[in-house]
Amino acid sequence: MRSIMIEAQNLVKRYGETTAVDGVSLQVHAGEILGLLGPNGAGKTTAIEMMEGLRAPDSGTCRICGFDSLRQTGQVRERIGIALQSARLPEVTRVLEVLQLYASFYPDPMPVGDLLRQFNLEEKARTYCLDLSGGQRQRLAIALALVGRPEVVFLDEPTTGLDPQARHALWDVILGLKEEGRSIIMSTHYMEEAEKLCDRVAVMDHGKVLAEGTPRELIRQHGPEAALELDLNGAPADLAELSRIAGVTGVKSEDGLVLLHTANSPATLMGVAAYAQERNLPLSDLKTRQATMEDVFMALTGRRLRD
Amino acid sequence: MRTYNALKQMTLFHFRLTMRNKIGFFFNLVMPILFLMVFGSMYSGSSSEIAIGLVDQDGGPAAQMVRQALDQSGLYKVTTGEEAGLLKKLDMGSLRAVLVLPSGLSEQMATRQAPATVVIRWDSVSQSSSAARAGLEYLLRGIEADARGAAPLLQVQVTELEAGTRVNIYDFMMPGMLTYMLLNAGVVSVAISLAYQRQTGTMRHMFSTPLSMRVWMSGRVLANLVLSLLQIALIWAFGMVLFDVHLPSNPGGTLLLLFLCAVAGLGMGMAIGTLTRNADAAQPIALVIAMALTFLGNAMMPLDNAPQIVQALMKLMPSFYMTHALQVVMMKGQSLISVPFDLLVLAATAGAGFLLAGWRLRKLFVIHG
Repeated sequence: MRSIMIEAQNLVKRYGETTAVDGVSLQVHAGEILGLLGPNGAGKTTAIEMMEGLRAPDSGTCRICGFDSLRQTGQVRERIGIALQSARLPEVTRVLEVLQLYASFYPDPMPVGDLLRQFNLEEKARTYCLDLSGGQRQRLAIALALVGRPEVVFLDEPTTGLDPQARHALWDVILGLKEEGRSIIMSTHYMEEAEKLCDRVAVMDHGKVLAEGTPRELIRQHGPEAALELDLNGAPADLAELSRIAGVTGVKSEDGLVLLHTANSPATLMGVAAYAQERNLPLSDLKTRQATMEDVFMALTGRRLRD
Repeated sequence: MRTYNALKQMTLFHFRLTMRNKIGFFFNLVMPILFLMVFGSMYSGSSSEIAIGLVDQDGGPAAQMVRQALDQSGLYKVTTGEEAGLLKKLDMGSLRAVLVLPSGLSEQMATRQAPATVVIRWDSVSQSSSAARAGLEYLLRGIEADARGAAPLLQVQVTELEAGTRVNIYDFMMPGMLTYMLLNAGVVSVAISLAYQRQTGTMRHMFSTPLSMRVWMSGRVLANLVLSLLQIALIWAFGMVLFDVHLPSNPGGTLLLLFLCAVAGLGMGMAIGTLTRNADAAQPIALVIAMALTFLGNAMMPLDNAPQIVQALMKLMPSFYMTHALQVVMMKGQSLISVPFDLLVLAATAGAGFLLAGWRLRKLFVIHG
């Protein structure tokens, strides 16, 4: 039985009339990556900051490595590493200087040279943070999160704003952290990222955890058997009619594409072909695919993740 | 060991940020020297003598007596010549007054038939000219009394307030310059930098680590003390090399006092930087406060003749007490215990600033320690 590194219980945070986080309870085990998946404004960052002890909840508690994150801040902060959403680095400070500064805050920091090597920042050691690329900044932010040899790492949307190449490079870094046995909680609104990196995913919307489990469990429990994407080449789609096709469990139209969730792929395929033939519609592109976390989110909220 | 290392790194961090800010660098280190040069040349000139013109149309013993009195006073640099030429110089500002001794003056004074008339030409738009006129009038009345053989009713003894060393116009300006410099570094630079660090999330990120408030604040204080030491050394070095400024009469007391001034300025800057909404708001507020402190604190220019309301406002400015304490300790060489009230005001200013900043930061962030 792996030990529990993060245990959040019924966290609530309100801002006036708005409830940003509404009773979130989560556990993260040793050596596990838990992803918080949800759109902007879902309450992911607020929930993470309450777990980190950077924001006081209106109610609920969180324990990190057995310590209360608000009352035992000293013990907690020596055991955690935090990369805040979009790296907040002092602009006119050099990479080496900022690593040395952060290293000085911890009792047994990692050697700064090792971090520079590990995160491929050796050549940038004398560069001001201001002059780093987005990917380099994020790598530095994660290096800063690791400088104190944390048992638990919080990554708040670590790849937001990065190009695909930089994003994939950072995924390798995060998977490397997992291999080192660290517990990681990360927020993201990229479903592909959640599927690729996370052992378990908590789907959040409107401050609540809607579902939690491994990506496979979530897809099995909440996703359709399969999804069909069809391109009608600009022709209008009758969504009501499409929803009546055999096997269809959900319909969504976006950017000229129609997405159908189905519990019976062959029946739905036949129905779609008949629908197109009756209306003389050009089916310029028709794809079937396995359900993804995106489909899970749509099934749970009725919206796509990027809406 | 860990606290010492964190303190060292934090001090270096703050110091580097200050030095790498080009605008801050200019206002903290270059501007005070420019001020010293500009204000010094405004108030001094190359000589402390007042330049006047003398038109001697008499050429007799009375004119001789006037020339002698002008020389003996040691206050005037006299240029003789034709009236038209000298008046042109007066108009151009190279002379402050022109004294015309008419022909027949000696004879008229000797016969005492009627009061003899001499003419002082001056420029009413110039304050220096007005002062020169008053001085000449005073000097001529003395000559006139001598000529009458009347004994003076009143003797004036001129005694300077005791100063530890000989001072020149630049020495007089040093307390004001130092006050301006330390206030600028503390109030303006720190307020803007702090508000910017808050705004961009740098501070939030830093306080998400085991960094304690005590180490953060101590690092901030030490960085400003290092900066103030640099400022003090620089302005004194320039002052001594270029303007013959003297070392302070009480160097140890002066340095301690300057450090206290720097910490008081820092306290104000930290309060502004943490209480304002963001860097855009902090900038004008810090500038207005720094200007009020500088100009109403008796630092840049004496306001002895200012209206009563201004004089009352001056007494509310911590910079007023900074300037006064510096004048007493630095120029007169007295010990720090001779300015207890000034020290109290400065310490209270620093303490209030730190308390406000600490309270505000704890409201903004969950800080360990």
